[in-house]
Amino acid sequence: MYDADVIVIGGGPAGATLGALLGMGGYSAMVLERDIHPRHHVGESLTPSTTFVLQRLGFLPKMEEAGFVHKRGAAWTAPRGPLGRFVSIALAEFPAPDAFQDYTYNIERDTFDALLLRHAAERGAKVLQGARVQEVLFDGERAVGVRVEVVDGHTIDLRSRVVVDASGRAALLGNQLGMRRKDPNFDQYSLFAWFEGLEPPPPGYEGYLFLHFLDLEQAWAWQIPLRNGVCSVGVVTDKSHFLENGQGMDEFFWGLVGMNRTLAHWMRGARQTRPWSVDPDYSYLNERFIGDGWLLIGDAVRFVDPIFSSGCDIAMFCAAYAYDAIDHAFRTGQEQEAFERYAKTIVDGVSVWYALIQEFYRMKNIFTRFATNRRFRPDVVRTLQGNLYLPEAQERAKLLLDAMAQANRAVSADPANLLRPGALRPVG
Amino acid sequence: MDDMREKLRRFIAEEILLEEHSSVGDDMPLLESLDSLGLLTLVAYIEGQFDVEIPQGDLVPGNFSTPLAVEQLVRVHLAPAP
Repeated sequence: MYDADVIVIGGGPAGATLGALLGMGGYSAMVLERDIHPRHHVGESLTPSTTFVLQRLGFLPKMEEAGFVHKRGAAWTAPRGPLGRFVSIALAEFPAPDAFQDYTYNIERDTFDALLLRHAAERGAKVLQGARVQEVLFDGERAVGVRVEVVDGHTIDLRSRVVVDASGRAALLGNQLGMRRKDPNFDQYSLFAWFEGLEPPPPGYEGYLFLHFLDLEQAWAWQIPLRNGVCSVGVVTDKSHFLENGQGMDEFFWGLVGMNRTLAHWMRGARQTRPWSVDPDYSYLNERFIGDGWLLIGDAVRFVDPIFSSGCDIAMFCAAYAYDAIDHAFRTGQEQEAFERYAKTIVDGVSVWYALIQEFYRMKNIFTRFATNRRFRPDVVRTLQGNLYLPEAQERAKLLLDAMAQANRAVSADPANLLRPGALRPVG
Repeated sequence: MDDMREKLRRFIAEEILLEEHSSVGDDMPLLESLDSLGLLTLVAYIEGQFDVEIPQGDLVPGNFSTPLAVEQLVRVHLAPAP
């Protein structure tokens, strides 16, 4: 009567992780992917914590074999600093107690996602690519399957005990049930491409993710070193800035690059090797992300802003916690309780990411102050390592966020403070 | 104490101004060469090297206007409690 125990809509990192875990757990899982992998995608840097999930999947040997760039830390520059000045944090400084390697990865998402999806199939999931799910089927309140277009114009209905929406930004179920809301605080927009010929970072910082702050509110750029001397460079701004601007993409991109001395210098000999990718519709959330027979995981839940590389972290931990919830539900029959626990875990963790992003944008200098201050640096590093779904991680993040908010208020109330935005405007 | 002055001068020259050590005078204006990361790099160095905590409220122009001003700021925080 069922085509699978679980139907997973989407074969990105969230869906592939869940598919692999279900297969490993002896459940029948069907992963329905709209595209044919490999396909390009934004989000090319992982948090350290994702290595725990990748290890659980037995996927790390394949990542090493593929030769993905080892990311050992992150660094950031200010718009008008002297060329090459940056502040950095290394992953090895304050490792998580159970960390087994002092690096994570930068990933070309076409390669990574395709390998992970194949891994899910090898672990027992049934993977269908080019299968466009049109809607989730309901029997009353309960999700009972999906209607999927397998060949142009031809649909079939598939039935399962649980349906998981891992459709990413498409937010299939969020749209179908009218649960998707624009984020009230953020409307971020990004434009990125791949480049060759950037000036290499100083020795010791190979593989580091560089963030470049721009001389513009809410705007920054990423520089992610990938394999074979390629770098992903992207700019993020408030969408209104792009829309009002009316420029072409080249002009817009290079105009923003010019708003950071170091980035402009490092990119002076860069050649673009891939067309522009635009991520136009960024920040949203779903009012609910569990229901009778269904769960949302990954980007399908919520997406805000890529500043802390939290996208794949959320995707893969959602998948891991969703697996635990589904497994519990199948074993005990207590689905509601298991799904509610999943929802609470995810909402608590994702809220911490959200608060960190908000605090970062409120005043970048406070963030840097905390990252460079002896007392707070360990907590900043540990928090940015990810996996914010555990109570102790949330406790640590909460203390940090409270202290940052307090520092923010103090600086805002002090007109002379040098941490105020624009207080220091070095010449030349 | 002169050791502190020496270390501070060298750090300001090499890490903040990115210039030769000899060219940093007592009254050389610093603020026009300082960006936010430069300021916070300097503060982190002071806190780590001299084992003091510079309160956020002390991050004001008067304390960072010249190498001498920075030195005085460090001395204030190094002073033993009365």
